[in-house]
Amino acid sequence: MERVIPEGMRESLERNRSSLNSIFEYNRPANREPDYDDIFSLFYRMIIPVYEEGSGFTDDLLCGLFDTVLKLSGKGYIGKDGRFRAVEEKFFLMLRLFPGLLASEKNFISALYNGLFNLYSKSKDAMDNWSAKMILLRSNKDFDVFRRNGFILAWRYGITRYRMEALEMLHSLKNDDIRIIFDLENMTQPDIERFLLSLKNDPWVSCGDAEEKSGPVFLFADGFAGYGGHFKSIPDVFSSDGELFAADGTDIYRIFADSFGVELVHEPDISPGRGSGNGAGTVYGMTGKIVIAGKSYQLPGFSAGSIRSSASVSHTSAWTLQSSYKIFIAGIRTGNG
Amino acid sequence: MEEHKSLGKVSQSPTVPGNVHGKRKFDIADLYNRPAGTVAENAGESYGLDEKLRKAYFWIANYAIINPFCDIEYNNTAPNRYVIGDNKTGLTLATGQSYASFILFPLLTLVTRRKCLLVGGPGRGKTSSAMIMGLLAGYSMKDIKRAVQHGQPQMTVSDLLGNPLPSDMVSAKSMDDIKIAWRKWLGMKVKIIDEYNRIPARTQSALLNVMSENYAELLDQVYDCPEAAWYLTANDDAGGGTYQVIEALKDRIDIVVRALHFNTRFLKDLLDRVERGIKPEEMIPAEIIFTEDEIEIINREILEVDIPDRLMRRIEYFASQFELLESGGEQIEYKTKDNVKLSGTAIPQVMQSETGKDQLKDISYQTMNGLSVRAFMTCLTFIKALAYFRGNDKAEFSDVRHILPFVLHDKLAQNSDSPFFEQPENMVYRYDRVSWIRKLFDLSCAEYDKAGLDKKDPVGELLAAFARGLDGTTESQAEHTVQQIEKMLGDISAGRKLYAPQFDDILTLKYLHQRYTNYLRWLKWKE
Repeated sequence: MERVIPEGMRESLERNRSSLNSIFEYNRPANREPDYDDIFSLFYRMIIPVYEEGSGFTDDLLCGLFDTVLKLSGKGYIGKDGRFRAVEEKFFLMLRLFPGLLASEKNFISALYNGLFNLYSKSKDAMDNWSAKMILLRSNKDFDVFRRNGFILAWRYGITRYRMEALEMLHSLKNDDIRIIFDLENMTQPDIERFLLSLKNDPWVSCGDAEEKSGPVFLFADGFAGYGGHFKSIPDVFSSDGELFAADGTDIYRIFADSFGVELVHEPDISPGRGSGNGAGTVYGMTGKIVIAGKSYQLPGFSAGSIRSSASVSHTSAWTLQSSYKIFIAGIRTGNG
Repeated sequence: MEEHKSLGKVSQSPTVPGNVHGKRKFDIADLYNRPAGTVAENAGESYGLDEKLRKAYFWIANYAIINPFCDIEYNNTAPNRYVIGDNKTGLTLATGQSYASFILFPLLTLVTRRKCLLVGGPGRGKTSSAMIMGLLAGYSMKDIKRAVQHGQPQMTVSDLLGNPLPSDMVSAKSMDDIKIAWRKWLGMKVKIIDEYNRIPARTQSALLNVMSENYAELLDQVYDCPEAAWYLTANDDAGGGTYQVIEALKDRIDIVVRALHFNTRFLKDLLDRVERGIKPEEMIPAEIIFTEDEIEIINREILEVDIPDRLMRRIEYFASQFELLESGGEQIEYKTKDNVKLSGTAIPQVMQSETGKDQLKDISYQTMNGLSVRAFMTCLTFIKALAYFRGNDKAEFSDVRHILPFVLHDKLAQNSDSPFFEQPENMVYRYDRVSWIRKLFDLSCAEYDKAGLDKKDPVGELLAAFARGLDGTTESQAEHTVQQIEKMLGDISAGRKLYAPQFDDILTLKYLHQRYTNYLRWLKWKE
């Protein structure tokens, strides 16, 4: 690969040469045996889109970006020892498409990488869809717009802990943007308004799901800590104050679930001893069936087995099995009740 | 043809196993000054430029110059030693990577841009070695041949520096109008003066200007020369050339390397080369040729090599051994060999008149002079360069021990009349300067260790405290320091004898006493 160094970039790097070299030395202990050429390559890929546009960085921002490159590389997020190739590719693609934000906002780069990484930890498709829609939404004008769109789309693609905040933000979006986010291409404005209202009231309304559907949504989440999950032992679920929790005897996690996905968020302030037992109103059949909102449904194969614990809140039920570290979720639209 | 093939072969990396990462230093400038991938594509460079330097060394040592000597010995573990002959000549089988001084030091001269004198009998490869250095610096053989200045008795200043243009000589109304056709070698980064001891004294003076001040002057016109590595050759270092080399010119030489004899066991190799018409200097592999930028980077990296404090203290101790001549002056500051020399008195004569000290053991009596600042600086530069060459970021004791004899070769004038050299086992040092200086250093280190100076250095501690600055030093602290200084001087005084290393300590203590008492006076005035 031949590197073309625009004059502005050369001047900028030369001006900050001493600072950049110092930043490298400062980060050296964290980057075990850093590969200089790898660092050069990453930094070049990061900043070149801005210089190619004829723009540039403030000295502080340039140094900050270099620091970020070193930190990301040192922790194995990007570069030749990077463990997340798909995230890295998408990251650099997005940087190339959002040079304005890169050159003007110091938090942009960390917000972008964090967003991509969190979505990738849900699934690669989630990350790909998120970035594709960020581009369609023309989120490159303003960092606040970028953050808002990113936030809503993150919820849309499975970061369910953002649900409440994202619902608040939806009102500031144009209808066209809502159509893009929720795949509502042919929906009229009244339909969109109705959809937004039902989305707000019912966590189990899904995209393009204006019509009622019968049957629950089945999801599962997490797993054994040794395989990348949270739990060190087989977890139990319980409900408390209208919310669902999972505990493995050491830690407690809040369960966020809706039609877009399920997420567990560690709650260090809640002690393991607090709350236990099943929520009322949901019964799991011994014969592989779930009775939810008064109706009985066949459990999908992956979630059937000997029940260890169960709990329910409103139209959401959670349970665990004796033989699994996973949390199983079933949710059903309000109308079906 | 096999030989032709092998000449193009460069040692594989790493040349020092275990030193995988080399000395390449991070510099963001590499991002915009260097084409992408050049480092990764070049195996040598990915190990750092020190690796490239070693590769160049091994190519010269293995293919270019038939020189099977390893006089710069390093040991990783205890080596096997043998005693050979009636004179009990010691032979050590080095256990570490060892080098030939005749190849190594010219190479280090190239990257430190210093001045190297190659001495030895005719036909020992002195000029060839210097020319290979020029080729390694990227010059063509044609350029090098054109640039070599061959010393000869008829050499004039114009031959050396250049000529005024004849047309200007006729038409010029002032000296400024005369344009000089400067000789091309003046602008080169590698300068070779062959047989410099055959240059007439007047031309030597013109050469001195170029060597010391880095510019040439002719008819009021000045030519500024670039920083360069200098190689001078001489058949006889002791002034046996056509002309006596002027002292100042000798003093400008940083390192002296001896061309050792040709090992007759390798005559067959030589014959083979002659028969096949192989000229190694025409076959230097491209990957060991240094660009100007690379030499600049190496130079910078060499300066970054650390000399640990303890090692530095050992060097200081050694260097402090030579200046004192107790009967050379009345006031302590003037008790130096230099003082006697300036008076025109023979130093050995003054030394002989001294009594009270064991002249056999006191190494100060073995030399006629002390060391100049230039000599110190050159020693430190080459010590760092050798450590760098070995792939280290810190100099080691052995590096110092190997460098000192070659840098101080012409800088420490031996007092052959010293009783030390009368001892049968020491007589050889009258002829073998390299071993003599190494012996001097060993003796100095033995004294240093005996005095336990690695563990205690009260003057050094005082200097370190002073270097932190007097700001914030309270009156009582300053008074305490003054008392310490006075006590230390009292202790030296009680010892009755004055030895050379104490000389610098005493002067340092006197200086510190002056600074602290001045400071105390100022504090009292401030109150």
